[in-house]
Amino acid sequence: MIARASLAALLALALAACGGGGGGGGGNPGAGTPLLGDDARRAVLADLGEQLIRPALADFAQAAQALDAALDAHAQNPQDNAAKLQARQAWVTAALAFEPIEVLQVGPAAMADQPGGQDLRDLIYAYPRRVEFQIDCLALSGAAVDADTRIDAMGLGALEHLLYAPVNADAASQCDEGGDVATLRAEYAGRVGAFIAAQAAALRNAWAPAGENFIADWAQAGQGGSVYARPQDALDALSTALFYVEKESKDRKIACPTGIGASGLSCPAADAARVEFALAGISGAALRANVATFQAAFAGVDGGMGLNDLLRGIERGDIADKLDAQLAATLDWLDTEIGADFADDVAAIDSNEACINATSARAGEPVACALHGRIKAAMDTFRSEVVAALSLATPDRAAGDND
Amino acid sequence: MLFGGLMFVGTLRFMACGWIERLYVEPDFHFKYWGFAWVSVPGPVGLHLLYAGIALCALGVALGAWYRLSIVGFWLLFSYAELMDVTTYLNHYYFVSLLALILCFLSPHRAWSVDAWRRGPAWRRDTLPAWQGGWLRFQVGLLYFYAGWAKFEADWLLHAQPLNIWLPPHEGLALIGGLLDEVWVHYAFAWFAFVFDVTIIGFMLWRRARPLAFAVIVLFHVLTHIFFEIGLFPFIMVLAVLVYFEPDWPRRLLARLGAAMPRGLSGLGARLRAAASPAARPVPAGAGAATTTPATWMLALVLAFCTLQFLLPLRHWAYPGTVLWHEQGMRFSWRVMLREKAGALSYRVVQPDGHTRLVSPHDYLTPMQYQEMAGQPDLILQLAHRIRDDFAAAGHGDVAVYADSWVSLNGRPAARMIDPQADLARVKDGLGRADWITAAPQQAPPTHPPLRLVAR
Repeated sequence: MIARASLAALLALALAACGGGGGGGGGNPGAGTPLLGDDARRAVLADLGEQLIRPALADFAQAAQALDAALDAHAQNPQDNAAKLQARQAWVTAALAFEPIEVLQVGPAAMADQPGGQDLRDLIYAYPRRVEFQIDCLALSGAAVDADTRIDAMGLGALEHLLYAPVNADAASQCDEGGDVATLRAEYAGRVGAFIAAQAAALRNAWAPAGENFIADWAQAGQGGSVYARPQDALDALSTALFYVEKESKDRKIACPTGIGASGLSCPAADAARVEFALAGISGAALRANVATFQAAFAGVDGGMGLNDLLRGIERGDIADKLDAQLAATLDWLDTEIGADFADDVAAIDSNEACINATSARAGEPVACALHGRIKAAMDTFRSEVVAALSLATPDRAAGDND
Repeated sequence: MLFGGLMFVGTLRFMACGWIERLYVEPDFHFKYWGFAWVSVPGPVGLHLLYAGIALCALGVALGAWYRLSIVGFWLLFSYAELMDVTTYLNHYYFVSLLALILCFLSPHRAWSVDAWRRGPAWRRDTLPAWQGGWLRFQVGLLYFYAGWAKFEADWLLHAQPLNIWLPPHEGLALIGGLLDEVWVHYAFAWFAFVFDVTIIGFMLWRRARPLAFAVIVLFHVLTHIFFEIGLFPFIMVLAVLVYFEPDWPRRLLARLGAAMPRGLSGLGARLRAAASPAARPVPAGAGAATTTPATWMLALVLAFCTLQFLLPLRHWAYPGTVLWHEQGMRFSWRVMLREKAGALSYRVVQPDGHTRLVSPHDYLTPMQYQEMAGQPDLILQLAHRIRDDFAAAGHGDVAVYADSWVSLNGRPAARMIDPQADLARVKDGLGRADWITAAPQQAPPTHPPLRLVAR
């Protein structure tokens, strides 16, 4: 009997050796060509890399360049309101261009302990960390901006404060060294803008074929010395990144300001001041950018493939259709019910009971609470059914062993 | 020796990977085992001292240096560490803890050890009393026995789940990777694992089949090491089944090595042969016989231990429903790698004045803890109690806590795992049947075909 068992094991190995490894390739097959297994996973990664991630990085790099120029002009003439307004406009464009990248923190945009990670994200936008006192103190003391600068006093968050808010009173009294406050703040903003532009360019170039070519690691995961040993590892990185919409968009940006989320009991009631970009008034647009990016990663962009194709490829169209519908409903709600400034929608909340009801019903008023319900439904489906069907990673799953 | 060495390396690996920080320092909240709520998590310094102590004791066990102190210290410290947070529960950690407990009562240090060298020839022994080897064999065999019969259920055998979910992403693996997307391979692996687990100990007990059976064990655990991130488990099991070989296998191995030494190393060869010879370890007349039969109290203790270990994995029968779903009786019962559970959870907290809040697990847990606990009802209950207590401490009074819990088991559509009407704040944690856990989904899990896309 043992001999039979061993024979069976040897046979399995021999058969395995004949398997051929599922075919390498990794090139772009023609339309209509069936893609199997890892080739299918790589095709999805390639499409998302070329049609979603790289364009998002290019858009942001361009916006950051324009922001740098606008801030430079503002620093040349701090008293010129038109220059300041142009700087604000450029900042809005850049901030909204960065919101998709928040949801796509893979590769160089990821933390240094992740494959290809370069820790660039916090240097550009360290939300929710921002300390107004530090920002103005550094500005008034003429500090330089580099990678050693406190992340809560630089980046897009610091620029919002510098462009939209008056000088912090404590900083004004404790850090003022006698210069013109408006000039010093505009100059500091200029240095922050230049630093952001440099990081944005670095991020774009890290993915560019003519640069560090991370797109090759991404699209050819599991092949040719890619930092990802398997295509699944790259998909896991993407999956982990997409959970931004759950933890940051849903919990931090919506549940806390609306007062329905306890968040360590630190968000006791609806408070419009807790929304992201409360000064600039673009929190609704930022939320839309987050969800739209998630939807693009799931459904693909411009006819390209996304995660839902992987579900359909294993005959789990039921899950794909469900999440597609939930995301469409969420985006529709954002388009039709939520304003560019989510703070306005939060301010309209006048009843906790109504808010809870709207969250449960995923409809009705207050619309901000219904939005929470819609995103929650979509993320619950992602966290449970999509993750399970595709064996995707959730954040921090790699900590420790299994059995 | 091998056990201590492996534990020493394993503990260093644990520390080097930064898991002390990630698993114990970073979380603000730790889940407790029922009856062990008193186990607290020390601060960062204490944690590092704890793990340094485990490593030191493991080294002592490996070297046979102050063995009794080392193994008791190892068992106490290791078990304490494992009791600190339920979300870090692993079957193989539990197995290690049990082996360490058994080793506290055995005397494997009376040969080839610092203690044997230190205490002199009169104390040394060439043999281990048979009951000691038998106890170890029982524990190892029990693990395989229950791990095998736990696979005797529909998801595993009839639907090849969760292997059907877990294996395809490994398609890029050399040699066998191309097959891992094939459904028949998932079934083959599932059935092979079932048959392997339930029969392998029988083959290990059959002297003639033993070498071949050991080779199959090595192959099996190499595969599990490749496919799943199960850390030291495969190594532990390969070492553990060595107890089924004749007790003198290390001596025979040394003798063979000694004989196989080339001429240039003939001195080393002679030394190995000498070390392998029992004659090099004189046993005082009568001393061996006195230790071959355990004292009555020892025998009673071993029997009680074995009975408990035999019964413990059966306790899930006391709970109606599917253990993979309700998890009552899941731990400490060798249900290894049987389920893919992915869950989404939030709590609805209703204050006495009717004010309602939603609490996300993110507010309390690390992402890893959240991932682990979302499919385990007793942990969902524990966090509900913590939330209740926090609201009370913040002056919000006696709140009601409801769980909105959606779980996908082995690829099934997500279903509610906790009764949404059950006020968990009022549910007592305990070993009784939990009627606040919903019935498991009745539908069979889907078996996914190989991934196939058509390029657009």
